[in-house]
Amino acid sequence: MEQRTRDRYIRNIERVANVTIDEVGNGDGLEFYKEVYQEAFCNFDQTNKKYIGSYCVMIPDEIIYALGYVPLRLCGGHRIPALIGEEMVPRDACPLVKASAGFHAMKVLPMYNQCELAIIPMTCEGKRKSAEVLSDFLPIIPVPIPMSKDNRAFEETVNIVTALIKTLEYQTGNKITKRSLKKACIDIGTAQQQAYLLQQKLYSLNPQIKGSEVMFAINSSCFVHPKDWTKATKELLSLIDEKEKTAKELRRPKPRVYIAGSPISFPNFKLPLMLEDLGAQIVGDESCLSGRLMYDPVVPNDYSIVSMVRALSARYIAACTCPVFDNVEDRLCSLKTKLELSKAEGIIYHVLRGCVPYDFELAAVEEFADKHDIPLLRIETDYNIEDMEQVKIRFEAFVEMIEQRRRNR
Amino acid sequence: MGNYYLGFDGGSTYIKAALIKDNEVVAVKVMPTGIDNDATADAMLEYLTQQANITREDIAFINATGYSRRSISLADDTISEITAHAYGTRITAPNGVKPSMIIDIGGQDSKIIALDDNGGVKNFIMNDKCAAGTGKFIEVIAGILETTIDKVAEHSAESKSPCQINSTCVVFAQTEIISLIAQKKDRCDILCGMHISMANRIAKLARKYKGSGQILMTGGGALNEGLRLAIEDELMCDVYPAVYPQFNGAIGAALIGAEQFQQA
Repeated sequence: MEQRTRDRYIRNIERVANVTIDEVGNGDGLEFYKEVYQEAFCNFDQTNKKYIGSYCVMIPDEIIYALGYVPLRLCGGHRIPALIGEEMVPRDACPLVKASAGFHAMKVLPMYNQCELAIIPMTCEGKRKSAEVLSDFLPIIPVPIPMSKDNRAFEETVNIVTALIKTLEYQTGNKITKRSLKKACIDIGTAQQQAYLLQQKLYSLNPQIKGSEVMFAINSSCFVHPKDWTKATKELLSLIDEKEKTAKELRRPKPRVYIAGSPISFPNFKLPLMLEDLGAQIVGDESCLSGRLMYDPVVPNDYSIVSMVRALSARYIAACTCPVFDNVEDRLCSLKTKLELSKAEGIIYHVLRGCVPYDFELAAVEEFADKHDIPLLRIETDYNIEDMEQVKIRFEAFVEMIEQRRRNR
Repeated sequence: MGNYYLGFDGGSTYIKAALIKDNEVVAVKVMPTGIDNDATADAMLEYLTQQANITREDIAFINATGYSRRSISLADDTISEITAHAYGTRITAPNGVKPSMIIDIGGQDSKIIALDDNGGVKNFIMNDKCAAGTGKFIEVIAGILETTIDKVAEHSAESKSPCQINSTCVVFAQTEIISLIAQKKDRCDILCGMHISMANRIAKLARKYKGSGQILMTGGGALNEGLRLAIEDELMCDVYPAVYPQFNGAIGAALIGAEQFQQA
């Protein structure tokens, strides 16, 4: 019986991943990213790579590389392990927590199996509690995160990151050196620059790449070395540059939509794909697993370990605009900048069912959107496909509404 | 080619059609959706042209909206129901009413649409759980109480002491109503309670966009006076029933069709 469950599970892990890969990954210049996902989700052969996994986007990958390990961001976006996780966590927990629990429990994918340990920042309730659930499967390092953004909290954050490094050094037996940390900062920094340039391509009035493709490319950086990712993305960027040279101005540009809210992670690309299917142009997103994943640079004062740790704490934790923090101001500020740059005409506010922090901030974002005269549509959904028709009706009307507003102007 | 425009609204329960000319409704027709949309649409077109005493060629443009809009092959184009409903109010709002919000109660969904000063869609929400707060809910409950949907308002008006119905889910509400019947509660009180429970749910959605503007009620639900009054009581303000409430979507689709045709 267990073997049969396992077989079914493996089959469907691969199928669901392949559907998204086929739907998004066939555009020009996306082969590299496609292979990254195939390797991560469709190849079940164990290797001798040693991984350290982390959850959320607040743990600096730089530290893990500096220790001589390969970092992976493990937040699950897959509906098949979410079904398994359903029995491990409460029904109202978000699908991301369910999927992550399911992935660990089934012990099938090498990236989960070969993790020596996982680091879980205590961000939202789901993450806090899942630390305990996941500790049945592998060693977990829970990391407390100060929920404020003042100076005192920042100093505390720096101490926490320093302590995390000490713990990791103890656990792995490896030491972080100035040289290894600097190298990791530079490697990831270069990738970050490319990611920034890639997102800017969507600001064009006739973007030569789809929003879903940008999300696909950026999300893949969770599973691959930044140097390889940088190389592929440079090639993709020059391909887009070429296309831009011959691109003509559109007579009827597509309605420009920005996706805000809860994370969108591979293979759960149903919202961006549906929006594009209905004629929208996705011009950006603030998902922690794409739009925000590699947007901001790490800027140390100098390359001493102390400076680098301060810069990493500032970039990954203090500047994170996750709604778990006690203040929404910096999120609105970054949203404003991105909406202006991308000339967005509408906001889709994505709430993963059970993701309470993002839903709490809806009111503030709605008020903000109203003030800037940008319509906003809240969509609450999970990784399942059963509500696609209902969501589609809303998206269709939303896209039409934007076109109507254009005509009225 | 004449200057008649036809709009279809293929809903979950009924297909509605409206024929308009010079921004006025000439004729309307409603038929159960059935399983063959095309045959139904053909029959309706036939009926409407006869009513208006015109030929098929007099109709310049046919536009379709609603769930099954894409399966009406007669249509020249389609539009989503949200946009169609917003447009429809240009004709269906009673004299002197300039709605800033539409409450549309359809067969299987209910929508709240906020309108801007030009009558364009400003924002919208739809019920996203189940059939709670929709026409289907009334139909099922009416069935249990051995009456029909067109008589529920009449019964409800006679209620002196409405029952409390707490479930919003059709299936759970059925259980609740069966137990009320067992307690020998009056049918009128049960129906009135049903309207209050639905209005409560709809008002929750509507409050989000309720400003100081006027509210127009459309869809088959607006034909139910009992429900309309219950919504008024919940929102504590006037809710105007649309003229041709059931045809608001079809009329809107026809108006958009006219606009598209004239612009082309």
